[in-house]
Amino acid sequence: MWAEQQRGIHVNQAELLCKEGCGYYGNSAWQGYCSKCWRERIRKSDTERLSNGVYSDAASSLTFAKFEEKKSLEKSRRVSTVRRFLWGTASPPKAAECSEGKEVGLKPFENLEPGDFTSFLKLLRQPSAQRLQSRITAFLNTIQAYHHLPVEKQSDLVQDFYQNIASYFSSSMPETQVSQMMEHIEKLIMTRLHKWVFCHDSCDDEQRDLLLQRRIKSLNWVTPQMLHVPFTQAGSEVSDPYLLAITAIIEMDAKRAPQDKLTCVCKCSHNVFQALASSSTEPANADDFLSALIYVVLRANPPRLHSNLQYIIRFGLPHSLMAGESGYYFTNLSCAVAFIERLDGPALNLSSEEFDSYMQGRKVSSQPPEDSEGQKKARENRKKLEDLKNRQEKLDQGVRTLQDQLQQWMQSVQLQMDEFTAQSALALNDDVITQTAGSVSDDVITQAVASVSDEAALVIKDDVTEDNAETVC
Amino acid sequence: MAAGGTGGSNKTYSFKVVLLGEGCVGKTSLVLRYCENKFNDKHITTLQASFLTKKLNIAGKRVNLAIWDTAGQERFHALGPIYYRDSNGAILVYDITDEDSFQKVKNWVKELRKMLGNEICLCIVGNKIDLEKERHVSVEEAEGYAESVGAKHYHTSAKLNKGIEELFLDLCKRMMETAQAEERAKGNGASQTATSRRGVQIVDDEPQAATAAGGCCASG
Repeated sequence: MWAEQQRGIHVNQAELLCKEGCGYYGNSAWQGYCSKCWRERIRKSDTERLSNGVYSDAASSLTFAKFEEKKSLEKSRRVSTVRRFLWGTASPPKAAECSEGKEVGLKPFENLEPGDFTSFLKLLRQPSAQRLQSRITAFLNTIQAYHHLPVEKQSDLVQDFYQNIASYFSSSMPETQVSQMMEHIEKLIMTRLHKWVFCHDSCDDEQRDLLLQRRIKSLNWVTPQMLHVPFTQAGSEVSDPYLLAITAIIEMDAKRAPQDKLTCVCKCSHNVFQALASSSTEPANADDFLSALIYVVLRANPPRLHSNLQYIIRFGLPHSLMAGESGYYFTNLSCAVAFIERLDGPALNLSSEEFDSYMQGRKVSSQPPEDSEGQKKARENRKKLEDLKNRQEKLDQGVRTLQDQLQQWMQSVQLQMDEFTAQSALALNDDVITQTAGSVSDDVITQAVASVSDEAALVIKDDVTEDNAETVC
Repeated sequence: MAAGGTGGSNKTYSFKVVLLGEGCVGKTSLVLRYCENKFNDKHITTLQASFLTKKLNIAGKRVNLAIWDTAGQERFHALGPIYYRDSNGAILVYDITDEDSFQKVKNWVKELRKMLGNEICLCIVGNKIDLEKERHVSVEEAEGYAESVGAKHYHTSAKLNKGIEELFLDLCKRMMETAQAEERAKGNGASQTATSRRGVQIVDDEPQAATAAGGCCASG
């Protein structure tokens, strides 16, 4: 759907069979032979090759990450050579030869709690698990040394490794334990390999990410009503019921292991169901869920969505993608992306003209955009802030005028005092009068000053209380 | 193609069953009745009816059934292949009072057979037999059609809890047979993981290509 042509295996049945004609299926990694015939051939040529020094060549390549090779054909041959060194030609003889050591080494892992990755790492570091650890390290080195291989090849290598490890476990562990262990292994390996294989240069993931991102951006006018998402503007405290789902899906890009990314998808889906449940009493069906998920993806515009999906497909454990809840949610996410990529007017109950005009931005959705709640709040806040600022200014002004008035008044009092003293000086000989006048003027001044300061305090207090009230609301 | 069945008798079969059908034919009620034994009930514990699982024990063998509801609205029709890839069984539901929904089932059957061949077990289900009086799809026509495409036909009523248990039990048995036959044909169960992962890889392929690639099970 989102990788039209270049992916997929288009071969007919005959080409899949072993070139030797033994009736079993062949494998391109074995140059078209089945495992048995290939082993026969290899055994013959192996002795020569070892003496010719291919061994040391391949081994040294592990240390030099920038190992240059020109022919891709030769590349794949070398990979299989290295793999043969690491894994031996086939597991059965090996399993027989060291099954006892294996069981001892894997015993401690059986007591692991599900999802306890830290303890897994601790156990892996113990000497009893050395065999497993060295296998993993060797594999990681191989992949890192061959990081310039096409990403599909790397995906094959990783998946083959999962299979090998799984069969190694299944000889000594119950089925549920194996899948648990595989999850740890996947996490360990892919956390290390993420930077090498995510959004690999050999594919056009990056372009497709950008395309998808632009596509989603251009669809920002789509409302939940157009998608028939049951959407209630119910609670005022929750501005968008899908906010948690949106956060979860955006978080996916930050995770490194495929299973952690899948966990984000699951979390997102659960939140979608929660949101759906708040608007309806009946359990959500697939139509509701998919519509809501599409809406969430449109709103979130998750970073590098295409790359993330491809990464999970290529390097995730098959069983978590195939079956189970996470598989279902992942499938729905794939559907959502496919739907968005081919979205047109009729799918939204719009005529194609309407759709086009929306796309070109000539028309704005009649209903206010979904985030109007938030915008409204922001607008209100802005208005309040402006109001506050105005009042603050008014207050400042008031204080200033009050000061001026006070100054003026002081001056006038001074003036009056001076006048008074001048007058009293004229009547110097009448002592009694002068004394009385002096005491009177003193009284007048104290009283006046007290009343003015009271007034000022009252004004300021009033304004402060108003401000306080504002902050509280 | 089979994601499920593996060898020995102590192994658990895991089957993926997709639920197809137009809206309002009662898909949700059907599956909720089966998994929770409830109909239009306030006490339904699950938030959703789109992905449900059920554990069964058939003839001493454990079966994990994952039931995938699919979006049935017309605008989602093109997404079908993403949903039903790798499924072991499909339940196609129509409403016996609605001729159109039966027509829709016919389209799906055609599509499924084209994409997945004969490896998928098909069940055609006429739901709402409690509304027998308003029947618009005749029993003969429906059963005749089912037989002509190699599917089984069932009559159910989610409201009265009729025929649902039988439907799923029968489907599981058929899927087990298919899985066992496949194992025998393969000769060993070793390539099981390889097959399923090939299936995963085709996830983003064009639907037409899926058929070609579906049979591929090399590597391992």
